[in-house]
Amino acid sequence: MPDLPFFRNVKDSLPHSSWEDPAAAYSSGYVGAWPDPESTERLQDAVMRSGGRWNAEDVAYQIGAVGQGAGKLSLLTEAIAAVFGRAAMPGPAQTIGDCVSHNLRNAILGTYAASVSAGLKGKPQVTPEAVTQGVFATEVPYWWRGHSGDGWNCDEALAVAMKHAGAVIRQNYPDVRVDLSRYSAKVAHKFGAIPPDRTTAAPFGNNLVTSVTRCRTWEECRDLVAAGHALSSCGSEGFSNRRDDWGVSRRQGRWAHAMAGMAADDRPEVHRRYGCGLILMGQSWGPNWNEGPRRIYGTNLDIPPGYFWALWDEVKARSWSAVSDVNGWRNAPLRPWKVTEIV
Amino acid sequence: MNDDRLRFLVLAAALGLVAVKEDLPSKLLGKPKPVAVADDYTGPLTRLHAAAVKMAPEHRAAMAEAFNQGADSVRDDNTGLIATTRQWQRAMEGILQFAYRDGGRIDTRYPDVALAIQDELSKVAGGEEVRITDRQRFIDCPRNLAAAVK
Repeated sequence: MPDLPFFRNVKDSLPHSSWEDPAAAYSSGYVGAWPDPESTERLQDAVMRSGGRWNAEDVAYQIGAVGQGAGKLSLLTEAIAAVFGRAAMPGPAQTIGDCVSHNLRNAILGTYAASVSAGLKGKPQVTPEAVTQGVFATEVPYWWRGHSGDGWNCDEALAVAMKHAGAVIRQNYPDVRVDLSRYSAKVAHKFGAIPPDRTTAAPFGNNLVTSVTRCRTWEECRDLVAAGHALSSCGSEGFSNRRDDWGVSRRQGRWAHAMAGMAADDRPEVHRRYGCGLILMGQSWGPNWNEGPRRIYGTNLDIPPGYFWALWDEVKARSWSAVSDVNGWRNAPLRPWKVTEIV
Repeated sequence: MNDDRLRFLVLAAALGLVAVKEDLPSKLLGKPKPVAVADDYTGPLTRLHAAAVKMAPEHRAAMAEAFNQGADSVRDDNTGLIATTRQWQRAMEGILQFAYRDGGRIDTRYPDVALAIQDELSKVAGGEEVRITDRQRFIDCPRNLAAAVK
């Protein structure tokens, strides 16, 4: 997004936003997400300090993911559906310019659900209402956006998810008088220029994102999605509100917007038709902003309402960051070793 | 993860042992070949090495080869079959199982060696099933075990 103003130049003059139709607002030039090289540097520092790796190429090797998504359809949405149900997507439509924290929530949800469905993590108790509200709250990370208006930066949000608030279950938190049962713009605006005090923030720091890695190529994004890592993404690309018969929406207009990458399709037939792979954009404008077929080609599965496939060649300029994992919800214990029974 | 695929990987790695049988000790192949035993070990796994020097030389060589094949399996895993500590645990035990029993190369139990190997494997794997995020460590571990045994 080279032609958008940097965060440091606009953050003190940002207004609150409020609308019924986010598609109209973003298409009219509303800036919900912007680049900020300083935030990127801070995030990279945080990743390195935590012992993580910033470059996806290194990470893909270390986790054995190189080539894992090659030629395949990889759907984190199916992991979410298996763990929490299909009602968890697309989540509540944003009513303010907090697309970055919706994108963050979706990326965390996708990664976490993949861990649970792989048997690595336990599943937290969530109410049916919490599921329809996206399982995890978007409001709490947004409190650390650093200004009192709306709009944010993907990398700053990821840094917040590693330090202050990552996966926050949608429920009432009476001890700190914060009700996160349902998505609320009012709660999202509770803090901003000044972050919450330590007491208020305390219940929300238990399930932080452990690390983040930057993806720069289709192969890196594809392989990390296949390995169970959803992608946070910011960019300035707009898209048609019509999906084609394979569920693809083509570039149209400009949105300064954040949307998570929730699936990757690298199948040969996709490359033959579109000339590149596809990435599933986790839109946060609710189920009704777009229309057209949702069936995934060659399957009996549908993408969630409101989501759409984008051509990698049309989104490759966006920032793409994979969420590694979420702390907490204790992992399954490793069974005792049997070496002494063998040797 | 597909358990059958993991079993296949372990078997394929074990078959790698068969593929290099020309290098294996004479007793295993029925040919009188000298067995190279490295007694100038300077690595960190001294407890394992001290236990391993009491093993029959051909058993040491076979076990070292098994661990090296295990390391290669983790290194060359491009399909995510060894993506978690549980899968790594199964792969390591599968390699030993094949080399020790199914492969028929080692016919003697070595409790001290077993304990030292198990301690090292469990130290690297930790107590929980987690995604492997530092694969080099899980390659180095069987490689170091091979060096200490050999």
